[in-house]
Amino acid sequence: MKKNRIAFPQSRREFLLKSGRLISTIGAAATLAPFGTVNALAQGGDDYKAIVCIFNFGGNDANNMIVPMGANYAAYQKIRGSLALPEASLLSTPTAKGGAYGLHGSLAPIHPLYASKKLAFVANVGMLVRPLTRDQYRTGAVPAPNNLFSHSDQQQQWQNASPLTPASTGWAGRVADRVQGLNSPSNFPPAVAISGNSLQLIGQETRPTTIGGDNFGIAGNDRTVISDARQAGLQEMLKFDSGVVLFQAANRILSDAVAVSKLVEDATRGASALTTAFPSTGLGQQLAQVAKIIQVRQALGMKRQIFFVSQGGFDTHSAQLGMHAALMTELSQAMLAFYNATAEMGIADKVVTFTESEFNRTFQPNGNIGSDHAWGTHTLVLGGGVLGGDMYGSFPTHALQGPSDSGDRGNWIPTTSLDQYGATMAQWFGVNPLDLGLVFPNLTNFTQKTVGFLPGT
Amino acid sequence: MRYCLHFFVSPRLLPALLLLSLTTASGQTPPITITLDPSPSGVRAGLKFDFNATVANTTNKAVKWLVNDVEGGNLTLGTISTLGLYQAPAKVYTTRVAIKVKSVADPTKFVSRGIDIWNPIAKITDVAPDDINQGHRTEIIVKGSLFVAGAKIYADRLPLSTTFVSDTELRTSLDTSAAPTTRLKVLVRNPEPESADSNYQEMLVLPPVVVTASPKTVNVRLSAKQDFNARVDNSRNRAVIWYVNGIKSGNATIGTIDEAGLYTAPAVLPAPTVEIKAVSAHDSTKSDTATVTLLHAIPVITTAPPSLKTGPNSFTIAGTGFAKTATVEFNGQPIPAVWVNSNRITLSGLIKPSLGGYGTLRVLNPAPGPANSAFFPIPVNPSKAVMTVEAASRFLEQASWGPTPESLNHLLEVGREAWLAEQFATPPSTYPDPLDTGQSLNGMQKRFFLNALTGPDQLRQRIAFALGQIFVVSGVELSQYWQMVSLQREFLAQAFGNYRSVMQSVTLSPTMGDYLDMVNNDKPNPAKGYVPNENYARETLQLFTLGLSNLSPAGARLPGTPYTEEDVKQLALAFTGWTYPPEPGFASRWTNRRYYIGPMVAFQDHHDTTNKMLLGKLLPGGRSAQADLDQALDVIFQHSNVGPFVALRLIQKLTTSNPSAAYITRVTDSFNASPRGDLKRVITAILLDPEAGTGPGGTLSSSQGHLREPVLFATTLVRALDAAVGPEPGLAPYTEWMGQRLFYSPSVFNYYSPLYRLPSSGVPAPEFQILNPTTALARINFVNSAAGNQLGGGIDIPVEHFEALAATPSVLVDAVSRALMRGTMKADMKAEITKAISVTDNPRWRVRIALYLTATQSRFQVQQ
Repeated sequence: MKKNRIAFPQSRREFLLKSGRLISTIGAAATLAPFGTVNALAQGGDDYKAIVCIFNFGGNDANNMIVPMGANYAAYQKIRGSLALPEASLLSTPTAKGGAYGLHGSLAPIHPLYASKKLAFVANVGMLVRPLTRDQYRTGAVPAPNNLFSHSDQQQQWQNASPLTPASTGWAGRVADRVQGLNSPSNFPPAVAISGNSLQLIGQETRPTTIGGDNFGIAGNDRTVISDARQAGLQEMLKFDSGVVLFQAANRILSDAVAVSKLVEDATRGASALTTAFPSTGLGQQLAQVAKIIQVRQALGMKRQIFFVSQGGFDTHSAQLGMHAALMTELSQAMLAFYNATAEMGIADKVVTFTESEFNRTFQPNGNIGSDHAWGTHTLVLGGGVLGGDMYGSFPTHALQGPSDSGDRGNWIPTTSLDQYGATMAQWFGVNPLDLGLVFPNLTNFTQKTVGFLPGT
Repeated sequence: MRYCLHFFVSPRLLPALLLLSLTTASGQTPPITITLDPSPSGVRAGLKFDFNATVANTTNKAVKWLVNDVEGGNLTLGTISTLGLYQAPAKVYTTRVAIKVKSVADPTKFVSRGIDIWNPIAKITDVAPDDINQGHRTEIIVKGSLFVAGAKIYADRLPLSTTFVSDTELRTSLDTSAAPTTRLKVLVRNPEPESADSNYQEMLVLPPVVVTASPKTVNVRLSAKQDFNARVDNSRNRAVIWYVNGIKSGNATIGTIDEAGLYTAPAVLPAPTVEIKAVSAHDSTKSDTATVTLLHAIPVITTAPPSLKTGPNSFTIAGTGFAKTATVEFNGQPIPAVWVNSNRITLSGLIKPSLGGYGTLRVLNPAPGPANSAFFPIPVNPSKAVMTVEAASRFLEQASWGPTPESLNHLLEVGREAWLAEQFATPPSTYPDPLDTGQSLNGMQKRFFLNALTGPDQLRQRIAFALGQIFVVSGVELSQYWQMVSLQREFLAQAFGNYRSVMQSVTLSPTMGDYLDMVNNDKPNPAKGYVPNENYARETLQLFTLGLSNLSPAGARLPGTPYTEEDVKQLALAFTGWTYPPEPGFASRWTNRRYYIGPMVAFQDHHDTTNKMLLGKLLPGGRSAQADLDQALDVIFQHSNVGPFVALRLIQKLTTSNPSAAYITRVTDSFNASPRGDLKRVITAILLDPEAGTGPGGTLSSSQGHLREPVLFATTLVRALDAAVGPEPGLAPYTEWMGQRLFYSPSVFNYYSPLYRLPSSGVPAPEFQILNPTTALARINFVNSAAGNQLGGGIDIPVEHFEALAATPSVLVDAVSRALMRGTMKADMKAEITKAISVTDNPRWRVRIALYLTATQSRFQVQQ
């Protein structure tokens, strides 16, 4: 940070002019802080925020992630049949209003964080164009998202928040577009996926990167005359413009790879390992990688970062119970380790981790002790700053062909839209409330813009 | 003083002189008397003597001087002046003369005195040599003056047999035994009369001469030169005379040596060694020898044919240093050679297609001194070419796992249509039977790559791979070899069959049945609240046949959707009642245990027999599971979406991500033609379409081509570099790092969506969905390993072939361009690569950098 002292306030001003509006929570500190104070902030209570999306690919059976207990358990048990979890196996998570709910037993690692109010649930979230009733859906009176129940389409819609038309940018990328000035003059991408590409992170200007595991770097760069010449040639040739679209696209990504690997290599040189241990699972290792990048945020010059990690295998059409339990174990162990790592770094209250999944699964099981593609789902939100220990949104009515069911197998019509869910994160992260509609075009169709599980929303 | 200067008077003359003087003084008046003095006994030839005559008793004092009565004397007697100065003759003509002085006044009065004429005393001005080696008879030349015949040279008082050459030169020879450092006094003594010693000069005695030749032993290649030195001690004459095998200066057979000791070896080996001898010019008995071990020359090829055609060839190479027993290699393999002479070899043999379009020749001289020539690059071209290298390379990139030098050559010779016919007739590569149920997919990955890298059924494999990315099953859930292998074999077997048959086989595959829950899918059970599993029904419509939108024949999205949620439910009903095939030896029952060999079997009791409506067609109730399944698939297959659906996907897999509407339409038409769904016809239409860019008049737009997906990227690079491949090639870890873990698609949606578009431009580019900085680095690092031949896994890339070309950057870069870029590398790229490789002379690094920079480039990452 020291080398950026002089450039920092100047670029900050540029950012404020460019964006036109002050971002209330950070603008004051930025403009008023003397240089030394900025640095002190960076050392301790630094101006830093990160949001981390865990995408459960395949359609998480959230019906078994958060289960009604007590009086409402019977309806659950009756319809869920072969998929019903025993009530005794559930981990009690009463809501502030006194609702009786319980977590899947395999979420035991994060269960205590509910009591300590770091963990919250959001009930029945999903893709919506605008609020919708069963009748409106069945008659088509109110538009519903395209291609509900299709994995690929719903995965895209959860990421681009565009349920009716294809969109090439994602909502988190559009969030990054609006806060990236805070990261100036860092060249490091504000949005980072750990495994694979993520539509969610692509912005109008934000070009996300993907930083995988230990193989992230250029082999054979040993700083000899020969390797320097090779590297220079590589970089030089990536600038060639043949006018061929796919060459240009590949050059862009290859150039990013070369540039980002250099930044990461420089920033992580000499960094000491976190003491928090991460599980050796796929998700555990992805979140470990996120923690490593957050750890060197100051060396990278980053104040706002968005991460995307994923967990697959949720498409449990058959033999679901065991598989789903294993997935819940992997999820909760990884979330706990990551939370502990943010605590170790002293920034637990500056990092929010949340889940997404393209859809819930049919409440009614199929003949293979599995479930099929459905709609509205439940999500988890975890972080030191989360207003946890409570459920947000409204829980669906567990009745086939009931008011919550879009069809006849318990395909819940969402009551909280992805837009509202994401806008809550975006506002906390620093997006001006007046800009939220630019990030979530359909937010205008909802009276309540945010869900309230984060302070200031 | 005159006396002193001009006369030499022997001591013996003194008494006579005295007597003459006394007589003159005693006379009294008269008779005239003459006295003559002094009275020497002799005068040395060549010298003068001044006589005085005194005439008394007369006033006429005049006298006449005579020698032997000759007035004034003459040259042989000596001359005497009127004043009595006698000049002795230059040498001794007569040993005695009489000097007479006669009064002029009275001629009777005279005095005569006889004197001897003596030999002169010789004078030495030079003795050569001025040193002499002990024990070596040495010719000595003494120069000086006044030497008289019969004179003798003395060395330290020892008379030597002397040859009189002239009065200024004497010769002798001396073999002294005097100790070294002795200084011999050399003088000359003229003979009698009055013999006397000359002055002397010293001659230094030296030890005997020693000649030391160097180097004593040395290896010299044929026709090469070697400088020899000979040190000569104890003589000022350092000169030596050089001999080869005893022949002065040698000759062409054994080599020649010049006066300075520069030896030139012969062109052809005469014997293993020759002897070089240096003989002292001063003392020919003193010499030294050196031994030359002759080695074959380092052969140099200077001339070869400008290019070669593949097939049988006879040609000549020229150069230098070709050993009689030399062998010749072409691309590292011996080629029959006939030695003509050391400058010429004729070769004949079969020329195979060469990596990078360059073959390399090398002459190998055997022992003694085995040595190889530098590699000599020669362009190698097909014996005939019915298409361009660029088009043929592109075609093989589209229709195979990438061109190899062999496959490129073959296609160039036979053309696309013949090549397709061959491929359609080539039987499938195989996968071995599973050993047990615990076998993982690792072996299947290795077998896949073995087939891809070496199998003859290239196109079949590409189509099977494409089908496997439409009808996706994944090792994420089916991680055992026996679960997956049958379906892989099925894709290979049906690659040139009919799409409808593929649908049938996949639908009844226990592998797919397990993966998408078609297996053990029971009819509805209202009592238990179960409905059929919708998974396979939904995905077969969405992902295998129809997609989510209505499509025009050009693949354009039309209003409406091809199926509804109700169609999914109805199809799920139609698909009920199937379970695993029974294990051999077990009775079939509902439900059978997991078993993956053979098609699934139906149990009618578990099949829904109600009327079902699918895509507007009635599937009448009461029929068998098989009948419902057959008709359901027929109904789906007949939907107009299937043609453009399959057309787009197969075009994308083979040629371009972004085909024009016209291209898709042409392929759709071929799909729709009778018999509908004929994959052979569809494949032919795709590959021979003008937009594929491999035929005459083909065109490529700037948005065409496709990113090579990791598996194809890896095989293309490895095949282009003509790697030797072991039985279990280990490419799978690399493609996994690149984002494509073979047989482990993350989901039924494949590694990437056929509908993925570039975020920046909206151009369709499915494979780009898995290209990100992490996988891009993995691709770069894969290239790094390949360029250094460090892939491991039993893959051996012949980088030494390129190293053989590395001495000339332009040749190396051209070969890399031919191997990886169809020979169309642009000038800017060539310049950049040339610049980078020029920082080192090391061929290994030059090759490594050239390959690395080429294969990491977008122009290689993307096939266009």
